[in-house]
Amino acid sequence: MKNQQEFIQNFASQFDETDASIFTIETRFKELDEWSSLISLAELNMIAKNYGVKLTPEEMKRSQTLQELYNLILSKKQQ
Amino acid sequence: MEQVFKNEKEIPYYEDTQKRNIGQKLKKIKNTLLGNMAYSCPVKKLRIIFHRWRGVHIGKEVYIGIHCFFDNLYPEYIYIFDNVSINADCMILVHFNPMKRFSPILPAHVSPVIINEGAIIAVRSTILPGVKIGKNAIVSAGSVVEKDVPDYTLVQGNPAKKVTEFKYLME
Repeated sequence: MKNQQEFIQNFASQFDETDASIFTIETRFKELDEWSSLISLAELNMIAKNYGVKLTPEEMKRSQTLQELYNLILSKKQQ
Repeated sequence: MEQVFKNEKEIPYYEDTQKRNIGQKLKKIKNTLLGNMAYSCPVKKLRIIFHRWRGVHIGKEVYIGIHCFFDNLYPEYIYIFDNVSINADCMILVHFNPMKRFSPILPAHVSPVIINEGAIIAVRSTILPGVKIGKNAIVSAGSVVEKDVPDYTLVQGNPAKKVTEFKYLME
């Protein structure tokens, strides 16, 4: 659970204007106003840096909520 | 491609440039004509050839889009390394020579612009004098770059600000 909270914090830290407190594990991040392809790249880099998992932009597109993204990272890490 | 870059130097203010000798005038005419040919040439290889004739240092496998404007007076101060992609409508400036009355605040100078291997300059970006773009860096569309961009970094906006690094994704 702690790791999940850490992931949410890391994810939120890539956003400049969006308040970090609105991020929960159920947040549909693509519906946020600030979400863009550039933020997507920043998130991919954050995931590669902190979790050692290289996701593709397509995999990022398929994920809707932070929970889905987090599960994807865990499943990739186990491979 | 040569690794020794030209150093920043002072140049005459605008009023003094009106007293150019014939050699300097011919050089400017040559640069302008070749620059205009490269600007509107639909063949990408010819665009690179025209820019090389002007004196721009261009490496291998470089892409320069149509309607790019590279400095007319000092094109030899532009260094573009291998695998760089400069897309349409970009502008690279290396000199600044204001009117003499601005001399206390704005020194007239020319400084090299260096674009390192693999960088991408997206459409309608402007690179200002003295800027170094790092390896595999990305300058997003419409940015105005006034400071150096580190390697593997994406910048965007006017003035261009760092959005993210992506070194870990490319290793």
